[in-house]
Amino acid sequence: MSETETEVVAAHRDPVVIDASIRALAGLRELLPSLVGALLLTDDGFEIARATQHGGTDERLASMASSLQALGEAIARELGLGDSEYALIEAHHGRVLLRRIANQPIILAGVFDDDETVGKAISVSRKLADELSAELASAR
Amino acid sequence: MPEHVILFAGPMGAGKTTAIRTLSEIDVVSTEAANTDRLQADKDTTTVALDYGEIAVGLDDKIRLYGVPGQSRFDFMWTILQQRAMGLMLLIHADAPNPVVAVGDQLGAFLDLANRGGLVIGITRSELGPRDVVDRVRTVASALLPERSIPVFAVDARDYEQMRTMLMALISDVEERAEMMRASR
Ligand SMILES: Nc1nc2c(ncn2[C@@H]2O[C@H](COP(=O)(O)OP(=O)(O)O)[C@@H](O)[C@H]2O)c(=O)[nH]1
Ligand SMILES: [Mg+2]
Repeated sequence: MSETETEVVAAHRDPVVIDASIRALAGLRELLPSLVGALLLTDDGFEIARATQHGGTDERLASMASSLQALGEAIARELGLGDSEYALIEAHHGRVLLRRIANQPIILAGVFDDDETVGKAISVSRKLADELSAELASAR
Repeated sequence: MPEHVILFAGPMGAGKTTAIRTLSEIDVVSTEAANTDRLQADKDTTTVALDYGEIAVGLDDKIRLYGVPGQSRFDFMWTILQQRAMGLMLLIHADAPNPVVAVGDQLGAFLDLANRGGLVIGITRSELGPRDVVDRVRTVASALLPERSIPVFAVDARDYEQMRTMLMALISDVEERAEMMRASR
């Protein structure tokens, strides 16, 4: 191995990424008390950090979110629509929002109960994504 | 010939994505993500939802090719994609830590499909693994499903002719199986 070669650390094992992720999710909880759970995960479905209200998130949420995000991006690509911003699932008793952290192999998955307005879930998650993206970009 | 739905299964790094890209006549729909699990398989990307490709048959019939993610944390995709499939193309790489155990695990996970549909097994990357992998896999496969005669091929997932031959063997097994199911009803 040459001296200049650096080992690429996976996001879910990188202390800088984990620390920033935990702080970002804590901030999200403060802004959105009705948040049932939120996860930051790698593109390939490994959990980086989580914030849950009452064990509300299934441990398979990270894998499922990774699949759904990839399918959403594949559809947008297939139709020539450019980058997809977020994906939203509206269910009877809540909603799930998935959003890429720009320029990072990281996805945010938020689970909200039905008291939260869609607009707030979208805007608050965008803020988190923008701030985390900026923080990680400057940490590199 | 009616439309056929074929599922490509097998562990991470077996060559499912490569095989579908080799065979498909359309641009493959893929869901590759940066791979952070280099210990499992040392490759840049990994499938996190599905691969999808198509082959035209005659004027308006198709073979639809679906690939699954290999990692068991995505096993909900195995369940979803297994439902519509009529044939299983099981790929195992010869340089896997234990190809024989992998065959048993995979046949267990896709047993529903294997029982009702066609089945072929392909040993990929055979030049990189022990020489006797094909024979050992053949032995374990016929022990696991003794009433079936399961074709086991050594294939290179990058090679069109080899993959095409294997796919056609699977299609004829699918049709034979469907015939048997009809007759037993
Ligand atoms: N040397 C060699 N490489 C192969 C052979 N078959 C497939 N590959 C390679 O093995 C890798 C398989 O990766 P991929 O298709 O992503 O596997 P998947 O996880 O099953 O989708 C690719 O880099 C292929 O080019 C083979 O017979 N010999
Ligand atoms: Mg793949």
